[in-house]
Amino acid sequence: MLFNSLQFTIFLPIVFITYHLLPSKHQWSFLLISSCFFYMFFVPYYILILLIAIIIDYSAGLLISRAIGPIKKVYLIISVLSTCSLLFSFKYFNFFSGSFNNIVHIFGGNMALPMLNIILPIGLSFHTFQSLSYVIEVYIGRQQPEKNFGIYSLYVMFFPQLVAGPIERPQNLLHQFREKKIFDYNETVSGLLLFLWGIFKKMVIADRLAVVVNTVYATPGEYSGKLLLIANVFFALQIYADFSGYSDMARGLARMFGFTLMQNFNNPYFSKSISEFWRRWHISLSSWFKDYVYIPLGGKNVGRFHLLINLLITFTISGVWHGANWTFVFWGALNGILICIEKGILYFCSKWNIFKKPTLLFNLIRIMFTFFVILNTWIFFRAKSVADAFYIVTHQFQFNKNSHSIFSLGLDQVQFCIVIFAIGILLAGNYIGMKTNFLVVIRRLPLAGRWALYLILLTSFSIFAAFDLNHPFIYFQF
Amino acid sequence: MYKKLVIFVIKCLAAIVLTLCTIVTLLYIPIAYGHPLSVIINLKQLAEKSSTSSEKIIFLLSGSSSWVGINGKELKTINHMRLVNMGVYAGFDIQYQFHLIRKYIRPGDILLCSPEYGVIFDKRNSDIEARKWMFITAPGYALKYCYRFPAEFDNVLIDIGKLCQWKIVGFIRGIAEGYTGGIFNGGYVKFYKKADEFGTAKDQEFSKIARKDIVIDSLIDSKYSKEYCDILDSIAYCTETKKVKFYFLPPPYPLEEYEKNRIKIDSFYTYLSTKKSITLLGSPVENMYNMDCFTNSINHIDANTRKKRTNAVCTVLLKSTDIQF
Repeated sequence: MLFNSLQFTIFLPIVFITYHLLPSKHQWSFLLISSCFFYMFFVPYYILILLIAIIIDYSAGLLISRAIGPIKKVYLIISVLSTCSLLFSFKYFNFFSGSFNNIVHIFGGNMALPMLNIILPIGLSFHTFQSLSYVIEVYIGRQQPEKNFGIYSLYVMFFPQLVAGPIERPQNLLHQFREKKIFDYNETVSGLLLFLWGIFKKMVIADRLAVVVNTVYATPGEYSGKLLLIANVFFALQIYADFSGYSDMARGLARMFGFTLMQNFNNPYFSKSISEFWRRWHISLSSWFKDYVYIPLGGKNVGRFHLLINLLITFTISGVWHGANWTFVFWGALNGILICIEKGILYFCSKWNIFKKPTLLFNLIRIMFTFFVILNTWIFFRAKSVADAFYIVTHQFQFNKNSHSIFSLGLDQVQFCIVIFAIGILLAGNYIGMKTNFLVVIRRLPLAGRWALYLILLTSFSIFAAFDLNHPFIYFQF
Repeated sequence: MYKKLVIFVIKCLAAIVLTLCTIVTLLYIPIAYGHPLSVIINLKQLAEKSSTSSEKIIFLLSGSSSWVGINGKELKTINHMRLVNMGVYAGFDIQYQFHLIRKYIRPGDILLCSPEYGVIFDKRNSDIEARKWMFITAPGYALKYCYRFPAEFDNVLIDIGKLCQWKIVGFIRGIAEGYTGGIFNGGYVKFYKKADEFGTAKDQEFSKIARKDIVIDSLIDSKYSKEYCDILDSIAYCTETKKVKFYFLPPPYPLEEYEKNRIKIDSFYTYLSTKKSITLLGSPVENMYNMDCFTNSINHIDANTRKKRTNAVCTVLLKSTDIQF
């Protein structure tokens, strides 16, 4: 069930009201049942895969906590390998066998590995990573093992963040399931508003932009540089509106039920450098890789060259996490290379004492330049193949080629105006959000003003949401 | 705690109800600027306006074959009767078109019914595009007969959202183009610029239609719908009680296609002749032309053929002993 589906509009009020009417000791079990129902709406029997992952890591957590000495590490390795093998079987097996078969074919061999005819369970990468973080944290000793199987299951399956994160840490989420939840009017309203803001990003902006992006990226060779460039900008905005929209919905929903999830996006397109961008984009995943890959590799406490290699490895693995395709591997590695270059530039800047006190204009240029670089990295993320991505990168500034009108890409003038206006609202909202808290401003409004605002927002959303397009969330595929 | 929860739920419901009320209000604001199907609202208003004068009116219920196939201006010149051509889009079923004008018809008026063969043989009543306009022009009808144009619930939501979008955009475009009519002067819909004041296509529209790629609605594997004939019969009966003449005007059709489907088409007319309240205006073959007389579909004749057909319709109307001008 998608957050923007009709089924969810029925599911949410029922679950929300029942949850708050139940005595607190039954609330978590009701949430678990609701989460199972939510997940089973996609492909019902895939819940068994989730159950296997839960059993593995729940048992591993208990075993690790009781074990002493090297056996502790053995349990950890078994748990990590088992969870990763699930991920590998469903997500990467076909990619690796396909790549292997291609290599064998190039060298004239006849051997071919089989391809599995399976669909990737929705959100598998997210809940396996959340599950892994629990086992690792128990191993490190920062988290006590969860003895209640139901609560641990809910930690993995909590429906607001089940399919696309944020990837929570056990320290942040597990204890919340044990706390007594009392209906908090203000928190619920702010959660609902956050949910609506997220759905606005998804259904008014992302779904419309997707039409243009999908058209251009399907056959990039047919379009002029101007349209390629527009599609790139649109994709950068689409993926932001889509994923941050989902994260806002997840956080808003969790808040309505009395839970706090971590912030996943912090105005990433206002970043002044690539490394800052990655501190602001998909924060839960970036910090996961930082804590469980980058730091164990040595983190900052290594030589300069080793540090760069660590960064490159971390970003390449992050690329692989996103998808089983060479485009993602390339995208991850490219980001790693760019961060390494940036580190080098920053090193020389500090050594030579330049740009110590940047001006406003200089910061603005840095923001625009960072956006431009990120824009070009997204091409590898979105393109169907590496060859397509290189074609787009090399042809996006060739404006002389005659091509289709921008209105022939699936959005007519009216839809185009709507999406541009909505992007304006999004960027303005983000900018204002950096300066002040929207929810506080809304609460300060007089009753009539507040209701008028709600009415305008709800009516505008009902009218301008692209109900007919209904594209799945981009990150659902991961 | 429960009290706060109840207050929250009530407030949410109130917000939903208020939003729905705003949307419904927006739906009823008679603005539909520039959209092709907005002409149907004009026609409803035109019918209303015409009924207040003593002038006799010919109401034409049809699809786009009559939008391009009859010249309202020429018809008025020859027959001295004003045409209200409801035939803008085959997606609007005949019953719906009749619903829009039924209260404006008066004794002495004429009702011409000319649905395309594709509609008669397909039972094709309505599609999504048409449904939006049914909701805007006759929500009561749309709800009553919604089983005849079934849709998923979310499709209906999409329809409503799109309609409101057109209205808002139409309103803004109207202001931008310096159009002084609209919401503030009692409600008005700007005429679709491709249509004349009778609801028929302007002559210059024909020059824009490409001749190639004629769309052929094949009648193979289909049978005329008795249900459709019954609808025609019920309309005819209804007009009879109002002392309004009801005629079935055969739609334009290519001779080549008629040769292929002769048995089917003839059997339809045989069945139609059993309906006593329906009178055939002219013979089906008189409305059939060579394929090169058609433009982009087998329902759309070209400008010359339209002239010829309009004259033929006028003649047959004048000749008809039933009609007293």
